[in-house]
Amino acid sequence: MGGHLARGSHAASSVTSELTLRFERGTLVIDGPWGDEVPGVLWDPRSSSRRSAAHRFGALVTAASLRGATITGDLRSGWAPAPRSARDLGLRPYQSQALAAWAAFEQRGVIVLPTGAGKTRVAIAAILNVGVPAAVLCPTRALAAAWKVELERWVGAPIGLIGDGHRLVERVTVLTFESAYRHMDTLGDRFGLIVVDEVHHFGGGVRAEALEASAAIARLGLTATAPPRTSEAAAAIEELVGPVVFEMGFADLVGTHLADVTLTRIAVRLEPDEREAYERGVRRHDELARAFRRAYPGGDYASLVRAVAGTSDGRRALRNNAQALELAAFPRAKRRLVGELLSRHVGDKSIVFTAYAENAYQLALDNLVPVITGETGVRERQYILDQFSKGTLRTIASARVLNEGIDVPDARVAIIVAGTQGKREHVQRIGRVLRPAPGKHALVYELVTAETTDARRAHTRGMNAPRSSTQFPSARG
Amino acid sequence: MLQDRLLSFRRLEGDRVVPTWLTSRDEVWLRVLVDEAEAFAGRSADAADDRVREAVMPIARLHGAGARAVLGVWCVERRRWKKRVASKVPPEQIRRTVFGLAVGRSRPEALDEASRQLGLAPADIEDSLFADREGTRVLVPPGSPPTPAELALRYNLALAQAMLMRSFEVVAQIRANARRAVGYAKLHGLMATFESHDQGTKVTLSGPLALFHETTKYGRALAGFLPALAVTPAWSLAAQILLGGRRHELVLDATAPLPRTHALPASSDSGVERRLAVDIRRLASGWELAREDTVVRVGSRLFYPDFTLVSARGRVLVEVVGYWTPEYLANKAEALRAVEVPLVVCVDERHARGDLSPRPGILAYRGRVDASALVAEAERMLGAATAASA
Repeated sequence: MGGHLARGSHAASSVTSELTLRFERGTLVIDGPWGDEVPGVLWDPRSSSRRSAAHRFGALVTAASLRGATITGDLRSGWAPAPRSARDLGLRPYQSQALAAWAAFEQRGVIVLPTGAGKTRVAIAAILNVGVPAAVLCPTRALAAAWKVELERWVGAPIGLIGDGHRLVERVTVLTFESAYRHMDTLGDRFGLIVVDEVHHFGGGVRAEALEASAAIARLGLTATAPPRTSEAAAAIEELVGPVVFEMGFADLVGTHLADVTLTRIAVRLEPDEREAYERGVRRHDELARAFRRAYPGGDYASLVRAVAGTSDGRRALRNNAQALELAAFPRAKRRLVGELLSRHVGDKSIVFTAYAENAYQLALDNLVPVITGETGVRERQYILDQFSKGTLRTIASARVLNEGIDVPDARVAIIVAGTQGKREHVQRIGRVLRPAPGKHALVYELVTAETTDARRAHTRGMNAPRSSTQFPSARG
Repeated sequence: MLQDRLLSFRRLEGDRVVPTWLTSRDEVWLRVLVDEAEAFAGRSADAADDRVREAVMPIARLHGAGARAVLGVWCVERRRWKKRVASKVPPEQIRRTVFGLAVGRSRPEALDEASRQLGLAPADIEDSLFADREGTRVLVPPGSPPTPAELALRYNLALAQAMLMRSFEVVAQIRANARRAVGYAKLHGLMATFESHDQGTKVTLSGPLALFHETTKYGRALAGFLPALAVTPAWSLAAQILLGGRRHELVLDATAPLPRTHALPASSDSGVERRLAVDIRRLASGWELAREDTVVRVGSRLFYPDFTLVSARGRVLVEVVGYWTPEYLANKAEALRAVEVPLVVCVDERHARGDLSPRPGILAYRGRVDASALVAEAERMLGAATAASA
């Protein structure tokens, strides 16, 4: 055994230690006298060759340099760096710290900053400093368009865009998660750096291929809400992007780098007919849920749904329950209250967040205010955001589209009609009004339907969410 | 594409699943759907959906078909319909005007002013404000209504493909046209392996990343293979699919009621091959590139060379390899030595790794295969083979 090892280390210093790599459809085909010990390298009987997913390129480079081995077909030769100063960006101190932390972790890691704290600026500084061809991945087409505009402003060169009908690759290229999922296997050898906006989306393993198929060694993830450190989601993100290298919460920034904020929760009641419909809708579901918990104490909701969905009675119960929840999310009292709040804040820029797109359209019709949902076209969305920015439009109704993103102009009032996505959504929505301005004091109204699941959801999502930075005496309810 | 919630299938023993096909038994309720749809022209998409639920579902249920099948069929049929926006003024223009006017005005004032500016009654404004939403658009029927049988076949194909979209590996048994499977796989970036047996060829298709974990990334490409497969005789297929996060095996065969009119996918002519065919013809050396399907059996595995050079003197197989590693080449050469087939492998020298010293049967090229060098190599191979057998 010892002799074998000695031969191995001898070989490492000779030319036979050379490793040849070839990028093939999001994978690396590996040829050489070693490589099997690098995690993720497998023998592929389909092609009679060793193969790894492309994101292992960094690990292979490290292994090769430890052996003093040369790499033929080194993808880095296509990524000649042209680093530039990011001084013009005028980073705030905590943004510079975040960037330095990421660099110290060998340019692999996640930066956690609240919405409004300028994650985009940090990423653009990273792109300029590293200076290699870069891909920016983001969840939606709306965000991709916004990234392109912002990058054009600072990079000073044409910016590529893949998705939404565009297929243009430039030195810096923006892709939606969906287009990265589809096309990274043909483009994955072109980028030395990938920036992943809203990186928490990759915690569940969905569309992980978008990141696996890229050979980029430098990886930067951005999010306002990283998954808990010991969770599976955190491990998945660490594997594909890197560990959390810098984290700052609302509390660290509110009042200094973020605006002061007051949160007001307003409880409303169902009217008698609504109450009756609600109770009828949830009854069978609640019975089944109680029976399930007796039989499987500690069973989670997903297994309850799986168990219940097996019978037509169970499916009907789930359907009726879902309808009851929709009712509780938007009863007549909330609908009226939104109108009152909007007329109270007629001079303020306000964003109204609903749980369901239909509710946003209803509020738009009631109050004659523009609405942005997944159905809204690019041109109209940009028009609304521009007018809102200028102040010629002062209210936007939205379901989920404005939850996250860099392109939403500053607002002072957020009216949270209801949510379905829990804590993360809640934090992001509040972040929408936190961009600082001289003398600004932001207001967040959260409407909650008493004695329904709507109230329980509000309670859960409020845990660990931002609190009012100062006490404000106007709460009612 | 059918959404997850519209997939209708039956579980067999183990984790095997088969699609719930529509057959002649379903024609009664399909006829009802076709009849109802005649009245859908000019109605909104949402209203049509509601009508399908109200009028067709109860009858379908009497014939043993569930809500998923009914909504699935209507989803497939509705793709043939067009939609138009029923509004005299484009809704986006109405919204710009109304929402702009509503800043600093009461609702009735804003509607009155908008009504003057747009020349629409206030009630029309409210109706047209969101008339361009998908569900409020008005349906325009296709040229001719389908027959119930056509509807069933189209739905069956959509259902099978939707399930295959969730696959990460497909194993197909084919009796003929295995070569088309090669072309298809190459064109779509899939990896294919072949094994021959008494009844034909077993083709295994999967994507490069499937080596590392179950991935449905290649589902679209794998599903696209089905129409071509379904026109071959006595085919069968077993696909590993993910449904609700769990692994299942989808089994399909030639008894499935699928349309059989689909054209085979074109084989992927490469530029190198086209240019080479022209160059060889120009040489007038008596050699030609043959297009017939050649298959080489190596043990139980099959090998499909890119093309065949034919002359009065004999046949030589030609494989063009853009990328290669010495290991790949050694494997291929060894396999083919075992069957003693004359073969020339053309390798792209830009991607050549390691020792490129001239070897029998290996020809380096850059951008374009040199036709005369290839012919010379073929002559030499045949000469060597003749010498060996003499």
